[in-house]
Amino acid sequence: MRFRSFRSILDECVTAIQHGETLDACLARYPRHAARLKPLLGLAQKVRNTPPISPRPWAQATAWNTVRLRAADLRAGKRRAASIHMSIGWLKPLAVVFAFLLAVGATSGVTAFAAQDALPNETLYPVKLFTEDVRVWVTYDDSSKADILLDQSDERMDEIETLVSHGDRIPENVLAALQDRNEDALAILEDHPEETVLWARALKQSESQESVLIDLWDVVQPEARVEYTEVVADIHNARLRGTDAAVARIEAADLAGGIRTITGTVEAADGGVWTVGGYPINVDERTIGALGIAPGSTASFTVGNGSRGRYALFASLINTAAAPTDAFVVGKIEEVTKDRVRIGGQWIDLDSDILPKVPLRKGQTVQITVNKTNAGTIASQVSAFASSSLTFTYEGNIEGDPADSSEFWTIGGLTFTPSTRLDLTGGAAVDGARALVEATWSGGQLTAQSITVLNSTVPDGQAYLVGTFEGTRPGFWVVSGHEVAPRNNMEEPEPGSIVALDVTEDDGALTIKQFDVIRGPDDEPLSRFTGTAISIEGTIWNMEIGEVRVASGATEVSGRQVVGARAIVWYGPGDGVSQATYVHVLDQDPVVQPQATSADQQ
Amino acid sequence: MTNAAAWTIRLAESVEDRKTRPAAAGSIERGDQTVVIAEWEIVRRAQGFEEDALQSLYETYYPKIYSYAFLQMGDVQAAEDLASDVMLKMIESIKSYQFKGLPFGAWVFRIARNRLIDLHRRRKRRGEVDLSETLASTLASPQSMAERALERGQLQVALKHLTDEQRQVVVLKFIQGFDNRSIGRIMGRSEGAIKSLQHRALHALRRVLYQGDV
Repeated sequence: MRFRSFRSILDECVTAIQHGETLDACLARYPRHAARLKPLLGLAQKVRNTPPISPRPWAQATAWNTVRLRAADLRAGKRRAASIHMSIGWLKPLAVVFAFLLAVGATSGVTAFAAQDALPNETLYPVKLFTEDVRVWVTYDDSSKADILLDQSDERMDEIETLVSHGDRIPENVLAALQDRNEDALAILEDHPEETVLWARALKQSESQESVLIDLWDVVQPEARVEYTEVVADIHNARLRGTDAAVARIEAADLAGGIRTITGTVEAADGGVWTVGGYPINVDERTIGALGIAPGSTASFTVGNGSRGRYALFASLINTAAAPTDAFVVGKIEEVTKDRVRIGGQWIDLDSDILPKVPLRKGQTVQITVNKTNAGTIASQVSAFASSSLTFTYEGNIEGDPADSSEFWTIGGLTFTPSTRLDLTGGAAVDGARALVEATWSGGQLTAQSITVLNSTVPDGQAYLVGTFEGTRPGFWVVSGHEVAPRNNMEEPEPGSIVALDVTEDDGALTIKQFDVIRGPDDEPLSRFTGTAISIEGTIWNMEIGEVRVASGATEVSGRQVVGARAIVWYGPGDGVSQATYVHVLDQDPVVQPQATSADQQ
Repeated sequence: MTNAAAWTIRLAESVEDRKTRPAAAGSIERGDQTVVIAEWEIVRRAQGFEEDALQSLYETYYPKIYSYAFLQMGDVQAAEDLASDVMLKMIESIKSYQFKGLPFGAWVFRIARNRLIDLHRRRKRRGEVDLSETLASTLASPQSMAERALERGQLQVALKHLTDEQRQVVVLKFIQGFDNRSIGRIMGRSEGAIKSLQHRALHALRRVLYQGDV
C-alpha cells in the first residue's frame, strides 16, 4: 500500500466532508488515523459553520458610491484620480482644501484627490502635504493632533520605502516633512505626559524609523544629506527621552560625514572613547545598547562621522562563539515569494522588517546580508548588485593608518573610499594587516562597499583580485576596469569570464602570478557567498547559507581549509546540496570557535 | 442600494453555498424569470465597466473581503477601509485580469492579501498595541465543545494566536471556501505547503481553543 502522509489524508478528508461526505465515513476509511483525524475534522467543520461576519450596510453603500464614481471615470477614459484612502475622516479636511483651492482659483478639486498618492518626487506632492496640514489645523484636541501627526510621520516612511524600492534616491522634501511631523507630535506630547499610549507609540515609531534610516545614507540625494542628518539626530534624541540616562543629544554635525557600521573587537575604553579595530569611537549616554560591552568583547557599532570624531548611535554585542554577524550572498533571484527568495538553489527567508533596496523579482541580481538563526537562514538586508564589470574583490595588506580623519584606505597599493560597512572582526585595521575589499568604480574612484580585516599574515606585495575579464590593452589584461600585467605566454581567458588572480603588487602596479577561471561567459550562472565555515564534515561545509559541497575534482580551493575561517564560495544548485565551483579561504586562522562535528561527539 | 438598470445580475454562488462547481455562475432577473450566466461573463462585462456587472461583483466580493480583513485585523474600521481599497483596486486593475487557471475570486483575494501585508508592516512600524480581548475570556466551555459552530468572537480571538500564514489558510479554506490550488496562488506557496499549513493551523487552533486537550 502506498504510504500517504497524515497531512494528505487530513486534506482529503477535509475536502470530502466539504463535498457532503460524513465524518464517520472518512474515519472508517482511515481507521489507523481516526483518533487523530476526528478532533481536527470536527474543528474544521465548526470553523466552517461559524456565522458569517457581515459588513455594516451604510459603510458598504458609501464605498460602493466611490467605486461607482471611479468606474464612471474609467469608462470615460480618465487616468487614476481617486484616493485609496477611504477613511471618512479625510472628507472634512478635503472639503476645506477644496474651498481654499476654489477661493484662489484652482482649476479643479480633483487635484486634491489626485495628490493623495503622490510621491516626494512628483509634482502634486506639495498638495498632499498641504492637505495633511489642513487636517491637523482643523483638529482641536491635542491628543488627536498628536495621533494624526504620528500617522503622517509614518506615511513619510512609506513614501521613503516606496522610493527606495523603485531605485530612486531620497529627496530633501520628504525628510523635512518627516522631521516637522515628528517634532510637532513630540512637542504636543511633552505637554501631555499622561498620554502614555501615545508616548509608547511615538518611541516605538522612532525606534523603527531610525533602524530604517541609518541604512539609507548611500541612497540619500547629496543635497538632502543635511536634512537627513538632522532627521536621524532628532529621531535618535527622541528615543533617548525614553531612557533613564541623563538626556543628552546627538547633533546633526556628528553625522555629517556619513553613517556606517563598524564591527570588531573592543580593545580599550578611555574616558568614553573605545578603540575598535584601531578605530576610536565615542561611546556615552547617547549610545543606545552599549551596556555590557567591555574590552575584549566583539561588538557592532553604528557610527556617525563628524568633525568631533566618530559617535556611536548604537552598539550591540556579537556572539563570536557562533558565526560573525554578516555573511553575504550575491546572485540572481531564481524564485521569489512575499517572504523568501531562492538563490543558487538555496531558499532564504526574508526578515519581515527588512527594506529591500530594489524590487524583488525573478532574474534580478541582488546582494543579500544573511544571518544564521535557530529558525534557519534569514536575510536582513537586500540591495542591488551592480554589473560585475564594475565590481571586484581585492585582497591586500593595509598601508598606513586608516583610522585618521581622511578615511581613505590604501590596501595592496590601491586607494579606496570606504562606504558603509567595516568588519574588523579578524583584527585591528592597522598598517600591515590583511584586508578584503568589495569595491565598485564610481566616477573614476574606487568605493569600498565593505572592508573586512582578515585573520591572516601575508607578506607585502602579494595581493588577490577577483573580477570580470573584459579584454586586453597592449601589455595588459583589463579585469573589472583595472589593468593587470600578464606574464609571458599566459593564455587569456574569454571576455566575460570571472577570473581569480594571484598578483604581485608594486606601488599599485599589478602583475599576474597565476589565475583561475571561476566561470566562463557561457557557463551556468553561479551565486557567490561570503561567510564562515562553521563546521566541515568530509566534503560538506556548513555555512550561514546552509550546506555546500566542496569536493576535490569538482571544486577549486584557494587557501587552506580551516574550520571557523571565512571564505568566498562560488556555487550553484547541486544534488540536494549546493555545489561549490570555487572557494577562496580568507583567514589562515579561525575567527570563530569551531563547532564540534558529529564525529567529535561520538 | 438602488439600481436603475432594467435587470439585476446576481452571482448564483453564495457564501453559504460552497459546493464545488466547474465555474461560478450568475443569474439575471428579467421580470419574474431568472437566467444563469457564468461568472466569467460577468467579469468580461465588468472589464468594459458596465455598471451592473461591476455592482454584481462588488456585492459578491465586498462582504467576503470585509470578513477576511476583519478576521485578520479584528478592527471594524480597518476592515472596512481595506475592503473599500481592494474594491477600488479591483475595478482599476480588472482589465488586466485574464483567466489562466486562477479563478477571479482568488485574484481578488490576492489583491487583498498584498494590501494586508502593507498594512501589517505599517501597523508594526507604528507599534500599535493590540487591545483586543484576551483568549481567556473566550475559551471554549465544555458545552460549547459540543456545539456545531464556533462563535464569531471565539474564532476571531483564537485566530490571533496563530501565525499569519496559518491564519490565512484557515480563513481562505474554511471561511471563504477556496481550494488548495487557489490558496497557493493567493499566498505564493505550493499546494504541499498549504496542506502542511492546514494541518498545523488546525492543530494550533485546537490547542488554543481547548487548552491542550488535543
